[in-house]
Amino acid sequence: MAFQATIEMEFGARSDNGRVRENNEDSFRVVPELNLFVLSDGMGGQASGEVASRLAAETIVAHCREAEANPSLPIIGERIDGASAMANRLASAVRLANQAVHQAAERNEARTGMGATVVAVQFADERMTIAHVGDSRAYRLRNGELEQLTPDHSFIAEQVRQGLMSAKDASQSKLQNVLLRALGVDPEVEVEINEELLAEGDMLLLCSDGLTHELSDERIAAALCDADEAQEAASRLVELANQAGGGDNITVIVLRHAPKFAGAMAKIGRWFTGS
Amino acid sequence: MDQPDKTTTGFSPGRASNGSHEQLKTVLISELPNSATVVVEPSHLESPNLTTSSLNALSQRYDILGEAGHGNMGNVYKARDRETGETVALKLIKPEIASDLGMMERFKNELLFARKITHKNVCRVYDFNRIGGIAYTSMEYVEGESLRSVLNRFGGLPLRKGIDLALQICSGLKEAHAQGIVHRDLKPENVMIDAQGNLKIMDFGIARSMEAATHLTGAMVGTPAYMAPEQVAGKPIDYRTDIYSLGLMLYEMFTGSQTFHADTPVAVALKQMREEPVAPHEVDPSIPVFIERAILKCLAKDPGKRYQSVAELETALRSPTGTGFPTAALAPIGTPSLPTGRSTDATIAVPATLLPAQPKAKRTSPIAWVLLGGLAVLVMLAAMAAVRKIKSAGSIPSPVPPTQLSEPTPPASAFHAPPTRPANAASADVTNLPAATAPHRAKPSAPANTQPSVPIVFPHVEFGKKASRQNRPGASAPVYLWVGRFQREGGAQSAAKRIEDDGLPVVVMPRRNPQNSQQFFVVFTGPFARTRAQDVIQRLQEQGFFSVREVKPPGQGQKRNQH
Repeated sequence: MAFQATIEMEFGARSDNGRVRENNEDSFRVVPELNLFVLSDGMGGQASGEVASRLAAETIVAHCREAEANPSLPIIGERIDGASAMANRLASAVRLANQAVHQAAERNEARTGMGATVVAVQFADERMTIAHVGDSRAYRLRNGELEQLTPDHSFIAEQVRQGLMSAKDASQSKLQNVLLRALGVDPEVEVEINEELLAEGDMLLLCSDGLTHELSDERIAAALCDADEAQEAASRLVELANQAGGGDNITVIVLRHAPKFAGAMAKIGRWFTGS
Repeated sequence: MDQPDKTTTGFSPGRASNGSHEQLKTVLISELPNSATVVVEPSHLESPNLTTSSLNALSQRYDILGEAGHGNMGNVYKARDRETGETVALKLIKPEIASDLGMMERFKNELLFARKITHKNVCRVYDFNRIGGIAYTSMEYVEGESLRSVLNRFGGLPLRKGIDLALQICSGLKEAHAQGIVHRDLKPENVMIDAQGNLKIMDFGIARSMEAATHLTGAMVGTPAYMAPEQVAGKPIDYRTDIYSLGLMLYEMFTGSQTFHADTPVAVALKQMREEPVAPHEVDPSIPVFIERAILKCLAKDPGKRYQSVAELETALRSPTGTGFPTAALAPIGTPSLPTGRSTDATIAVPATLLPAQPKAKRTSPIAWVLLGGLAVLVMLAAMAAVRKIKSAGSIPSPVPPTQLSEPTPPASAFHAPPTRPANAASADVTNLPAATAPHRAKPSAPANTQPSVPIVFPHVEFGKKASRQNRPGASAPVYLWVGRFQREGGAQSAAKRIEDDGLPVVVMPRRNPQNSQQFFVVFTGPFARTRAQDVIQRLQEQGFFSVREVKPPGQGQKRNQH
């Protein structure tokens, strides 16, 4: 399958079990016609992590699709003042996903405690909205510099933000996976929204923590810079993370805001849904 | 095989309330969310219900006598082992965990490691076993009450009682550390006290075995209100982690107030790393210097600055002067709930060789670290949003206006309604109890008393400090309510029961009227934060107690006049 995003956005994606896990609890959805990219990392025993992440991703896509067809579709939760309509819609979708996961967990005892992180990005022309809950991240590579756009909702990241812990200590902490927010845990969730403007040549990376636990920012930046195509970058990142241990599921979506002429000629992106 | 990446939920809100129904009954539950263990799904491991099938399986060997009555014990059942005739507590392991052999193996190893501890202050783990598809651990059944519930009902403990319990905890902990076992989740919920005042630390090895078993499903870290900074940071843990947690417990036992307060468990956990505790004497001026010093040393953020062994702490708690002060002076006297073995214990010199070995060598692979999963901070967030936290300060007083008192009966042993005590016991207690308990005895002449410990245990704080104390939230003086006076004990008890049924902490005190030497009974309730007192008075009035009034907590009023 191949898609070309309607704005000049080249993309590639890949999801992999990693080398330790037997199942993949990450899910992602790429919806070029909506310029929507969603990545979710599930948690919970008895395979419910897979259920949670898939449900989250699908709910977000479904809500955005519905809103596309029916712009007056009610917003779930409170409208965020000062945020764009697109941002409000994406936040609404994430809140709905939270409800969906929460209700699914409530209905089925075996699914108790299931939850998911999510990072979703949507474009409209040069504008971009990122919504996230948990520790799945969005990075931007601009002029060779990698910048994390989504502050992790994790216990350790909070300690770093409050100046209680150095980044080095944080990287060695065994509580890396302790989240402060996730979808499905409570009936309501606070969604963090970022709005950014794209510049020509920007690359974006959405990833699950299986990537960032294995690779430093420097290595990620290098892999993004070196690749000619988004798909190549995505595959390369997954390979590198696996070489570094592959302790968790690894999922990446790479987006490149291609120069206009290059965009027209861009090779077709492909993505793999894992092994 | 299921291998969730991480777990954010520990306690589902439902479970939190289940697990603590005993706390919900009492008033000072406000700390509940913070005292919920930040574990990852304890429910991952422990079966929440005894289903019919597991009941059938277990009944091959046990007569199930019911749920172990104490919410804090979680999913524990009281049972009689038909083979040995013993009464035991059974903790069930969730079937889906039990069916994972590798995970069970790790769980079992850690637990059986902890079984090595044989000590009168440690709840014995007997066995790890399977019957049919059910995996369970059996352990000593302790008939009694958790320290949590005692603290909830009475706030702080009288000094003597507090020291007694502290030394018992030290004693059990010392033995565990000598075996190389770190508790990792010490908290009042894990300490049981029986009717004789014997204390047992529970759940040694549980924290670690759960961690071992859940390396793939999430890890347990502890309880925000009782977690050491290194635990909060996810750094390696050793026996000094237990010493810090014990410091937090001692703080609460002696001041009646938790060390750190915040709106969310996460905020509490972060305070463990960042914030210096308010000096205990600012919460309760009657705290002796040596106790304060010991508590604060336990609470050093840097493990290297704490006591380096439980034995050191024990010594500090015993010899106020640090020069081998006779322990007899502080040995509990005449309290019905005293363990008999304790005072002998107290004289044993503690060799430094008991310094525990670190069990760190057993640490597992780096992957396990990475997978060490999420904790339940999240759920607690939810739970806590609902619950406002006001923890009142102060120790157990006998807040009777002096004119009403002829024979003060400090509720030193008031875990259960205190019986009248011999006069000598009362006078001995004077040295340790807040002045309001026995105002006529607590005058500055007290040092002339024959009790050698008097000069040391007396409050060392000038009352000028009080103003700042009152401004501090959580440290403001607690309020006690005088509910009524009854001629017959039966009347007092039935009033107390009505109040208790309403979820308020209550105590009945026998008193003697000096004029006609008639005995009567006074019902008190509290302590409450001042902000709460009016609500409580209204509630009591709705119950028909119209003469309710506030009485001053110890350390104020009369005492100030004496200085």
